[in-house]
Parts: sequence; structure tokens; C-alpha cells
Amino acid sequence: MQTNSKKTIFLNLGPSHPAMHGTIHFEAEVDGEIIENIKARIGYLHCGFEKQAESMSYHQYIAVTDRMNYLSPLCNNLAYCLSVEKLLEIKAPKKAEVLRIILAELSRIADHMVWLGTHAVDIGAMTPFFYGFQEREKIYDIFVEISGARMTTSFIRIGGVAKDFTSKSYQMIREFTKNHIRVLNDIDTLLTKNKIWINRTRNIGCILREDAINLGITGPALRASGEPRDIRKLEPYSSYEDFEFEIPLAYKGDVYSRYLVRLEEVRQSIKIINQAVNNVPSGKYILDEYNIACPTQNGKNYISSAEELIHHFKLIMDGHGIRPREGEAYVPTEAPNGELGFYIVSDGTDKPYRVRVRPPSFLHINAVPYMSKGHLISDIVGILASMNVIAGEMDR
Amino acid sequence: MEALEKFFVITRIDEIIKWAERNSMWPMPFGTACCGIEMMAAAASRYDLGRFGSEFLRFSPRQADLMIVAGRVPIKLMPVLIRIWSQIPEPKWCISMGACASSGGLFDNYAVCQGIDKFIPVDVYVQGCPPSAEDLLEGIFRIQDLIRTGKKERDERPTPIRIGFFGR
Amino acid sequence: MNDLLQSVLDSLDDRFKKYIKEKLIDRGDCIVRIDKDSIYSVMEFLKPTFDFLIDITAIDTSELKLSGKSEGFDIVYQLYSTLKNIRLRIKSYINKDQKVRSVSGLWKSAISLEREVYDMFGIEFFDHPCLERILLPENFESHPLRKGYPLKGIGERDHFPRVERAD
Repeated sequence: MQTNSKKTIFLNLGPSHPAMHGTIHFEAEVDGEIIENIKARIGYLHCGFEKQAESMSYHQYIAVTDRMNYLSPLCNNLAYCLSVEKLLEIKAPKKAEVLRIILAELSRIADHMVWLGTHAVDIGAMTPFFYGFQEREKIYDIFVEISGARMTTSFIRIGGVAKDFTSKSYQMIREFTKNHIRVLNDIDTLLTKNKIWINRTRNIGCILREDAINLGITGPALRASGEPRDIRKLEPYSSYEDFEFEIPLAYKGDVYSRYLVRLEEVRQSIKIINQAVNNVPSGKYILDEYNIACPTQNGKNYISSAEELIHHFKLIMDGHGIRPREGEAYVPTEAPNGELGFYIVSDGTDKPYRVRVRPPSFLHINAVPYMSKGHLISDIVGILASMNVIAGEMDR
Repeated sequence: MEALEKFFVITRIDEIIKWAERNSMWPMPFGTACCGIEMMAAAASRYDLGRFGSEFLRFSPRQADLMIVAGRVPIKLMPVLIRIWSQIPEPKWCISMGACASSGGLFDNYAVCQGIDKFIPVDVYVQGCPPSAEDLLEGIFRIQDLIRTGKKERDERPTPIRIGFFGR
Repeated sequence: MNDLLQSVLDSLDDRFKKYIKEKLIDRGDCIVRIDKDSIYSVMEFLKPTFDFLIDITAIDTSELKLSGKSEGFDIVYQLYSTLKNIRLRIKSYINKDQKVRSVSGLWKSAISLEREVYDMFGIEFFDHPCLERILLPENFESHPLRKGYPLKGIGERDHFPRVERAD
């Protein structure tokens, strides 16, 4: 079987391994320390999200989307709600759209901060982990102020958002964005010109633009390969077209460029949040239509009349609820990892006939073997971390 | 005699073992999903698990004595979990963190095991979806209480303890 | 409809007139329904324009209240063009036991996407490099996203050995 003096051995990484984010299993065929061949085995976190949707009403499923990508639950809420809104052929009010953008961009920052922390820990730097989680805690404080929950907020609803922001939360967001720039600069000084960091990341896991497109890579990883594709710019949703921001781009497609792109994306997110916080339009934060949104949500927390009780009953009871006409809808959104979209097929009843999630991580994990051939075992860790693969979203 | 009291403490050997055990719990994090991230937050700045003797998260089961199962455990992962649990040397404890590990949570479907306690013993359940980091810390304190109070904790294990607030 | 998309559809019409069964716009998305035998050739024709394969998925149509559908699947391809910034959705109906030619020769991303479709629906693709289960364990016997499979499974989640403490 083995020819010459070349001897390869099999090496298992995962499924329970500190650097295999969540539960990923790699079967590597190594010659010494060099990877000859590598296979990703996934599915250790397959929880039947898509089957679950077929037995839930449209409103109920919002809570499930939270658990899909647990670094940025609000981006998943947003993608799902946009698809349902397209299915219903409605549009959220302008104010709701701006509030959604603030939430989505805050989630993006939280995601990138956790990504940075875990990426650095995987490569061997402990300090950025504490910096990253500190920032994440600050963002979650804002979410607690806004919604009452830390992580799984289910705050974005069909037709708008669940509540109005309090004035204190605007203040907290302003304060956060002001201080966050300083932390970003700290991280910059810690890592960007750090010799060890550069040696561990530069020219590791290179992928060219054509290959990246062929493999289905999206998001920051694709932009690090030189393709300026950002859905927020190209196919704007939720009034992203009103905001000014730039698409960070790198050309090399290695781990270091992905780091640079993500770091710059955080700066752009702050820019978007600053514009949004200062220009929140007045008006309704959720559609005032009783057959779509709960009547208790608009302004008060109780049901005050018999009509509202009836509408509430009609909306919540099994077998009633919102019933989009037959057809299908897909809205692509720019989640922190890449293109995330929900492809929903309706058969006219109150439960979706089929929900398909287009997960960015599922395609990213299958690109990791292409990137890591010929590198050292220790580089798999960096390559995997740089793709920010989230097991919950990958396996669904 | 005075000198003796000044320089020596008289105790029993099992007391001192328990004292050592409970103040240096080394957790084996089995974090899969959302709860895994909150568990990482418990180890990071602000909550700092290290204050309570769990300084190192031991990723090798052979060096751990407390397993924290955080997150959903689907059918493909359950054999892995059982194997890791049997690799931890006695004495060992288990925290089931979050609704999904304790009961399947939101996911009552074909792929998710409805509670890890069907297959491995669990000492403390931390509830919430996901529980906040404080709840996990409280769970670790309860494990420390179990070690301190239970003389024969492995024979007469009290009914499992549920802590935390619902719906965090 | 977008002019760029219209021109692509026109050229598709010229070339594959007899295979195109339906063209429709649903809520602003363009959907083309084609014959199952022509999937590979249509994809090969579209590849230079639509260089990005976004997604492959399937729908079990056995409970969908549309006329003329029996036990079968709709297989759905979502395409995107980075050059022209347009999207196209290709759908094709296949019967329960029919096989489909894999497009993994055109897009590498199709390898894992088709494996998932096989895993969840049991649709087989020929010319595929390694068609095996991807998300579910290898000893899993059913295909869970088929409508006939119950939500709570058929007991897979309960069959594990129970481990007790040593003493």
C-alpha cells in the first residue's frame, strides 16, 4: 500500500477537541507533520432544525432560529423574518428597519469579537480572548437593556421588532461605540504587527478568488480572497442602502487577510451603528396589522379590549395564525459568516411546508480540507478558526 | 501544647481530601452549542471561573473530575459523550447545563437525545436556555456543597438539584 | 424583471426550448422549471454566467396540494452571478426512485450540498465522487425530511447503553 519510504498515518482531531469549535471531526492523513489528505466529518450537532419547522407556526419558529448561530442570534432572526415578510408580501416600518440594523450590526461585532478571542486562543494568544469577551459582555448588557435577555432574545419579529428601544439603550450604544474603537486599537497593537501572529497566519490556508467562488465561500472569507461581494451593498435589505459604509477587501485569501477583513468590518459596523442611532425615524416599530403582529405588542403589555383578545387568539392558536398564500420566498442576508437565507415554501396553511436554511458554515467547513493540504497539523487549527465555523449553523 | 495549636491543625484525612477536591474542581467542558459559549463566558473576564478553583478547563477527560455538558446532544454525539464520561476517573461529577442537555429543550425531534440523564448520571441541572454564566457558577457551588456534605454522596445521592431562573 | 436576467432567460429559451416546462415570477424571484433529464446540460450552459452555486435543496411534494403531483421531490438549485448580480432558481420534479446527474463536476460546493440532499431525502445522484451520509450517523436508516418520517423519529434517540457509576 505504501510506496517508497513515505509513511502516512491517520490522525483524528475531534469531535471533542479544544480547537475544533463545537463538535467537528477531522480525519487527517499525515506524513510527519505535513497533511497529505484531510476529511471533515460533520453532523455531530445535527438537531433537525428543518424538520422542526414543519410542525411549528411561523411565529414559534423565531425562537428556534436564535439557537442556530449562537454568536449572532439576531442576524438569524432577521434573515428568517425577512423571508416570512417576503412570503406575506409585507414590509416592516422604517423605524423597525433601522432598529433591526442596529441590532444586526451589534450582533456582528459580538460575533467578530468572540471569533477573534477563540481564534487567538486556538493559535496560542490568551489576551485577545479576554478583550473579546469583555466587549461581548458589554454588547449583551445592551441587549439585556433592550430586550431583557442576553443571548437568545427572539427580539426581531415578523413585521418589526418586539419593543421600542429605551432612551437608556441609545445612550449605552453610543457609549459602547465610542469605547469600542479604543479596544479595537488595543487589539490592533496586540496582534496586527505581532511577529508570532504573522508567522502563524500569513500564507496559511490561501485560497484564490475563483476557487473560493467554486467552493461556495461567502462573507468575510470571500472578501479576503478579493471578491467585493457584500449582500448589504449588492442586494440591500432592511434599508441598508441608506447607510454609508465600505466593503473591506484583501487579496491574498490567507488566514491573516481574513483577520484583517473581519477587524475592518467591525469598524464599518460601528460606522453604520453611529449613523443609525442618530437617525432613528419616528413611527411604529411593528406593523399595526392584527393578523400579523400581536396586538399586545404595540405600546402596551396587556390586552385592553375584546377585539384585541380575539385577534390575539386568532394569531396564536394552533390552526389559525398567519397564513401566507402558496408559494416560496428566499431572502439572502449578510450574516457575520456569509450569506444566510431562509428558503420557505408555504402551502397556504399556518405552518411552513418546508424551511431550508442556506448556512454559510456548511460550505465553509467543506472548504477547509482544500485549504489545509500541504500545511502542518497545527495550521488546521488556525485555518478552521479563521473561517469562523459555527457548528450549530453548519449541522442545523 | 500551645505551640502545637499554633502550628498544627488537627483534622481527618477524608476531610482534607474533600477540601482539596472541592477547591480544585477541574472541569472537562463538553460544550456543543449556545450553552458552550456561555460556559466560555464564565471562564472569561467578568465572571472568571478561576476564582473558585476551576482555573483550568481540562480538555482531556483523564485530567478532569467534573464534566459540564453544555448544549444539545444529538444522536451522533451521544456515543462520544458516553465514551468521554467513562474515561473520566472516579470520583467524578456531572453538570447538565441548559434545557437541551437536561431535557432536549426546544428540540423534541428525531435527532436530539431527550436529556443526557437517560444515559449518564447527572448531579446538578442548571436551567435556562441558555443559562447565564452566574447560573453555571452557582451550579459549580452546588457541586462543591455535594462534596462537602455528602459522606457517601455516590451511594445516597440526593435528588438532583435544579438551579437558576427559567428563561434567561 | 431585470434586463440582464431577461437576456439570460431568452438565451436559455433558444437552447432548451423543449425542456423548459414553466417560467414564473413568485414574489419577485425568477423560477424556471425544467425537465429532470436536462438538469446537467442546463447547468453546464448556465455555468459561465452563474458562477456561484448558492444552494441545492429538495422539497418532498407528496403532501403539497398541487395538481398532478404524486410521491416525488422537487429539486431546487439556487444560482447567483457575481458578474451581473442576478439570481435564478431552477426547479425540477423527479419521481421517488429516479436518479439525478450530479453537478459536482461544475461546482465543488455541490459535493457537500448533494450529500445533504441524499442524506435528508434519499435522492441519489450519479457521477458523484462520494455519495454518503453527511449529517446523520452512518447507521441511520431513514431519510428524515421525507414527509412520511415522523418528527420524533422511530426510536433512534433512545437506543444507547446506560452508563452507571463504577461503585
